[in-house]
Amino acid sequence: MIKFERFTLANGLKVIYHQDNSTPLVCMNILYDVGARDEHPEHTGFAHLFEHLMFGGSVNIPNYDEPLQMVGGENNAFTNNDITNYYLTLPADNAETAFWLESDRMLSLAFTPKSLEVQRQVVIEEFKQRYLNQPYGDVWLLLKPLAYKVHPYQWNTIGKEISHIENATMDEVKDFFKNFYHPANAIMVVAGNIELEQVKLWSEKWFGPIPNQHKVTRNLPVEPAQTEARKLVVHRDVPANSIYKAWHICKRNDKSYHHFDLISDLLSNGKSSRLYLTLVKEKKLFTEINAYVSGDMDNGLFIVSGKLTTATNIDDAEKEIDAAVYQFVHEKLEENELQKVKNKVESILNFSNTNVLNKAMNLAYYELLGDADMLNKEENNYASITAEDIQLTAKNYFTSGNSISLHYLMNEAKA
Amino acid sequence: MSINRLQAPDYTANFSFPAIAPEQHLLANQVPLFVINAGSQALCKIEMVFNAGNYYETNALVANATNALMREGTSNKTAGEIAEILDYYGAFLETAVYKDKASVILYSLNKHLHKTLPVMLDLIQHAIFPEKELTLYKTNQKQKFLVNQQKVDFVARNHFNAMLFKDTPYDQFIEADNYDNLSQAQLQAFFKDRYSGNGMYVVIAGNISSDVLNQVKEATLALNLKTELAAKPYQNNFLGRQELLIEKKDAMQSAIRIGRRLFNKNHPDYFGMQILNTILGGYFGSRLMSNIREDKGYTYGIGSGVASLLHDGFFYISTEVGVDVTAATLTEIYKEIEILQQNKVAEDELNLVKNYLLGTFLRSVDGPFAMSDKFTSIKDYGLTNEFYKAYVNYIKQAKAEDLTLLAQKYLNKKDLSELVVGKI
Repeated sequence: MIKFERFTLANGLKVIYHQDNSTPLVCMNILYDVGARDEHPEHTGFAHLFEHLMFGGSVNIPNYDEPLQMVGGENNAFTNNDITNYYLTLPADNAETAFWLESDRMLSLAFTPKSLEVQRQVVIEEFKQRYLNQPYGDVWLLLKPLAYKVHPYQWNTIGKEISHIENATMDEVKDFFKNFYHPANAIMVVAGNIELEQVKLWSEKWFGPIPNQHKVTRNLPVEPAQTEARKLVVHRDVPANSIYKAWHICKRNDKSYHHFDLISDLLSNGKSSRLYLTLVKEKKLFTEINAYVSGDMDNGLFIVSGKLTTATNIDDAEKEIDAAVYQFVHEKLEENELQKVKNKVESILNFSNTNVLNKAMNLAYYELLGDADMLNKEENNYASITAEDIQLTAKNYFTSGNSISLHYLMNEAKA
Repeated sequence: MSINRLQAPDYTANFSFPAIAPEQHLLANQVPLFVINAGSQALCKIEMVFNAGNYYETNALVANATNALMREGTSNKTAGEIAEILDYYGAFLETAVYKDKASVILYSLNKHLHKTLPVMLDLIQHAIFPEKELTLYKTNQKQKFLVNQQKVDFVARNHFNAMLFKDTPYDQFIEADNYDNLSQAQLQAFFKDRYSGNGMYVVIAGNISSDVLNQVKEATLALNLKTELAAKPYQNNFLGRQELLIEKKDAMQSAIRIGRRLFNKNHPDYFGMQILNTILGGYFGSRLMSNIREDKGYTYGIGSGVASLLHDGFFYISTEVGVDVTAATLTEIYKEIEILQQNKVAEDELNLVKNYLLGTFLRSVDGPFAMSDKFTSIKDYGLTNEFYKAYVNYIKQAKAEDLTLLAQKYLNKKDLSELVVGKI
């Protein structure tokens, strides 16, 4: 049970407070309700590029990192399809520095041309390092546009192509800040060895004076239901054939999400999971195989991906994955197996609550989903799922017309 | 309320650090058990540590395969049965091999420990390394290796280690053939020698009730120390600068490694090198990051580190940069090193790095699991919490002059080896 308090400043900033006096630290996590899905289709990769620019100095503080390091703090951030999340930890005695730093960059950035020029280059190198100069690195660049035809999930957080990042202008940077970086579009969590009254005082002092703005209404195109299976075959210079098979599923906030999460655990979480036992150990068709949910706030994907052993035919591999997934449609789960994955979820939730930064991040994310207290209800949400629930969800979503497959094959010369 | 946003709030660098001093029990079978009791969640981490690192293997990968396959079958249980029990009770069993030692780690909810701990104990006592599990391991790990061989970063790590530690037990250059050559007999022999010998110990961290403690004591008592391990001698013959270019014609980025053999935690210059390394490449605001990422945009990241081994140690710089700026990056790296040798670090920068390191140390001892890692990382060097106290004191009083001397002593180009994987 993660206890917390919640209050909202006059300018719309939501603040969540969680006390943990077992740590000598304080964490501040600020989630901005903006991600790659909010980008213009011709200007993709922008939310992530913008995350880099948030470290390029704010209106009154020329360098974000230095003052934080000076007080013994550390920070990082990430961007995904839905959110941009900034977090820092610092010694509890120096917690006010976090309020000072984060409020200034919520107020306004320095917008220096040099920062834009350099971070553009840094992000292009990141694009190469993570997506282009890696075996299988471009899988998601291929898979997402195959799965999504109109919804912005069709591009990756890094962007569709390097040219979009090359072409970003300072005017766009400023517009983006104006639209998305303001109190009403943020959720702040302060957690750790600090008192509520102190958090209230410093929140008012540093964040209170930031002008309020209206939250931009999100109006994204809805991905139409897919009725015919989609398939893409590519050849690359890689040492093993691999397959990615996906099905469109629900939103993160839908009840069925938990069902898919358990199905993915049943399939591949741990050495007693179904796919590992049958396809890796018994039949030796795959050297590795994984099932997972994308967990997106809009309709997401359920994905099974694996690398094939040399002797395996790619179509046989796909049939085996289909059989394993469609088994949830045709057969009801045994109680014992269901209990196993529920126990695992309970354990994972408990272990993730041992870390104050994890708790802060989770509280912010669940608040965005609707209510931070959902974090405390998760264990029960999973515990109450029945075998019938899972079968019904599987029937609704696991159909061949709703599937996407990517065959990622070795170049012929190498085969 | 009118506030001055130009003025940073007051701060302190006087943090109080918890002592890394676990409660120690020496059990009747001479196995030491260390207990770190902290944390509110009813769960624990049990780590059993053995002198079973790569240092002791006679054929490459034997230490890794032995450690990984202990969970794949015992004289009592099949791999499937072991996995089923651990998964059913939501436990996580991790196996890890380092250069000097190897660990088996169990994460379990306290309420399920009576089911999960016996499984851990069984595989440490009775692992049998079934042939079919080994065959599967060889096939799958070899494929992973071949995939990794296409990553410039992986290739660089593999070759760089071999460059620095050639002809020593730390030279662990891996080739695809090494997977094919693994045999059941090798694993069984390594297991027999290395997982029941003196020098092993147990660390338990988390919310440790007396019931949990008793269960772990009982399990630890069941371990039977059979062999007296022979020490393996080490010859520290420093080789000096070497250069190597491994060309990858299609590479978009090159991986760069620059570094040298150095020393370990027991050396008097260890603390000083930690500070010097931090200034050069050990944090986001480091000289290398500021110059090569934040000023020039050549890379997504560049860093440096000082790593300690039981009988040696090394310093390294590592990055991946665009192929067109590989040569320029090398020039800038050496330039930054020369600056450290020629000019005193400014007081502001030194203060910042000192405070950053103290804050980093505070984060690294936050919570029972972090504290247990902090403990195992000094235990084998014969060090205690006095080491960490000395570290904090050293940081507080370190002088810029000392760091210049260290840069002149240890970071000369003639001693630094250089490896590029990609294009130049």
